Amino acid sequence: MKPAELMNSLSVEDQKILNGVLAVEKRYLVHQDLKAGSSVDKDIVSAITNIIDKVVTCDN
Amino acid sequence: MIIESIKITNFRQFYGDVYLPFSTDNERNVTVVHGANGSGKTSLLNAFKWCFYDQTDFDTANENILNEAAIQDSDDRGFIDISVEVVFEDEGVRYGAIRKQRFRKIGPVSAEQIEQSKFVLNVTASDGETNRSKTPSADLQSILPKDLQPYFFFNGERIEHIAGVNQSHQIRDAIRKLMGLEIVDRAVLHMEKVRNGYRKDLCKEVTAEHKNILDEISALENDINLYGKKVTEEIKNKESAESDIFSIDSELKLYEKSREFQARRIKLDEQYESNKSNIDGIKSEQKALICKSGFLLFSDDIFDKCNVLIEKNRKKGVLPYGIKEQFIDDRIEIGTCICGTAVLKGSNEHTCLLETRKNAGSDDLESSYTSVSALLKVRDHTVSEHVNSYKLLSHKLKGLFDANDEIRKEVGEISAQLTSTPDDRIAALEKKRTHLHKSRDNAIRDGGIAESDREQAERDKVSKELLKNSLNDQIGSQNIANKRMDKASSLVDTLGKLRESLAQQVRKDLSLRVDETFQSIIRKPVRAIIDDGYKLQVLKRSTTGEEYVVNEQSTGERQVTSLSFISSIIALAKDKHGRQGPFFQGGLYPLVMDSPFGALDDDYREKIAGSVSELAEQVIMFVSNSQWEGKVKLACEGKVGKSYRLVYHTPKGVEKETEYVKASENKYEYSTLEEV
Repeated sequence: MKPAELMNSLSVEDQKILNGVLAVEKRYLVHQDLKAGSSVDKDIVSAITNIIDKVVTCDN
Repeated sequence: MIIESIKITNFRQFYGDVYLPFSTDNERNVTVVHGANGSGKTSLLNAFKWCFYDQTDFDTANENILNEAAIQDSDDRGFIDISVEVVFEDEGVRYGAIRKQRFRKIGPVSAEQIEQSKFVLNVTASDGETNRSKTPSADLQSILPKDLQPYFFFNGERIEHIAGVNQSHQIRDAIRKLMGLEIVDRAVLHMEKVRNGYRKDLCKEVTAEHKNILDEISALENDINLYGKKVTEEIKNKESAESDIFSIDSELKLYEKSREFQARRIKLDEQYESNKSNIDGIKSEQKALICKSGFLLFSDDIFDKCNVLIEKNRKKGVLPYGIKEQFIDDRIEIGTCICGTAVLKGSNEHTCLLETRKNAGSDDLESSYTSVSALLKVRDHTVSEHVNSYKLLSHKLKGLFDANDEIRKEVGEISAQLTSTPDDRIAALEKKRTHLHKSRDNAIRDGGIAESDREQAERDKVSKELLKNSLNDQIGSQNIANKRMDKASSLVDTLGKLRESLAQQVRKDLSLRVDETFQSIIRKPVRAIIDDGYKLQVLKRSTTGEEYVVNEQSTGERQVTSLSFISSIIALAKDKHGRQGPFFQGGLYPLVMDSPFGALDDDYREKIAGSVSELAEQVIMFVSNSQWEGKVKLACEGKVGKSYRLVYHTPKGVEKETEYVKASENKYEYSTLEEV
């Protein structure tokens, strides 16, 4: 499946999360030698967690 | 990115300050520096690498980068500085990258390094304000990643290995980094961490049994990652060993005493591979044969019983059936027997026909009887035919295995002879080759084991996931931590698929571009592709129309193939640069090449020279004076914005000075640059 087809096959909810996640990764890409557990690494994990928390709630 | 200039001070052949501005003209985007052998062309290439990455590819690495004249001219115990400054522009911002290193003179021609090199990056914004970067290496890394420097700064004579052996991992890595797929790679890693975080939250709310399963899943995921890394590492080890073996083989072809042995070994290797391929083919034929008629060998009892049953029924007259059900049904429907007697419903004739019908056979039964009888009659013949066919294939297989055993012995003999040769260079190369072969075999074995372990861990994880799902009902499907964990888990899978899909798409785009460049240069009726496994392959069409991989290319042809790959990847990165979208970053990269025409013949030199300006946004090349003069100069002259001559000043004295070699005015040996 081509990348665009794959993205289109996802639910609106998943697309929303994935686009948010990729935008976060793009923003932090300047940090090339990213160490696991570093503050930048933790910031990225936290930003992605926030995206999922906002989209996946008790209501849906 | 456009490189504006480089300023070199006391680096290798360059004594004092040497300033070299490059062409920044879009129309004439090529800068050429030509000089005699040993005048400093490779040093110029390495000046970039040293400035940007504190790295050089000299045999003695960074040990002897200080200019000898600078040492001799210095006071005893005096300080000598070496520095390289590269000024470049990227995305409207101007950068000045400077690396400096201080030495102290400790002997007439020796100096000790007294501190680590220092790197600074001055950043001038479009409004003219200049600041010094607080994270110079990281900032440079984001513009020109270190891992990719072999594609921007390379020695043309050493690039053929890209097309020489299996370098799929290197190619896949280049695609990943240059095309911005790193974003998705990182997203996978971070999403896994997010999922693990949710799992921890969930563990606080579930039963001990549920928690155990979650822990087991977590441990299995960890194992899967570790095995995956091991597989990747072993692929790299294998490719690295193969690349080194390829270099040794090329070198062994150069020596008179090893040339014939090496040529024989190449033929034997090819025969070995061909036999291996035939072995695979025969094994497939054997499998097909077993699938089709293998059951015959294990069905003696059933056939015997069947035979006895049929014979018994035949003797009784039950088989074969003389009259079929359909025949009687037709007579009843027509209302007359074949003898002309009327068959009325309720009559004796009608009752008689119904009685006969009970013993009549059906079409299906008749056909089964016919086929089973036929099979029973030819069973012995079929079994013997099957066994003979299988034996014949086994015989062929044995022949091929024996042939390969012989090849192995002969290859071993060649290796033993080369190892015991009085020529130390050849013996050392062969020993290294043997060692590399073992390393390669170990890497293949260890990679296979890790792959098998990974697959097992994947299967175990699926079982545990099923168990976990069955327990989900107990905590309620609306548990928020569970919902988020499941979402993160499914997104890890989706991102993995997305990564593969993107990589394959870029591979296809790149493959087309590589072939386009390759076709414009190469003379032979061949084409270049990057195959599904990310191998850069050259294909040829046989007279029967089938395409096959060309394994034996000349060094020059390999250089053309590799150059096509490098220029295509830079061109594709340029195309992707600036496009909106979540995935591709791309970028504008220069091409700085030392001896790009190295092993090429006149025709290839002329063709590459003619299209060199199209290889990248900016092209800087260092060539020998002999390579530059003539057809190369004529072919690319219209695209050259700046041209320099490297002048070597020798203290040895020369009978007749040339444009490229002059007598030193002082007692030192050094090189200077003259704009032409």
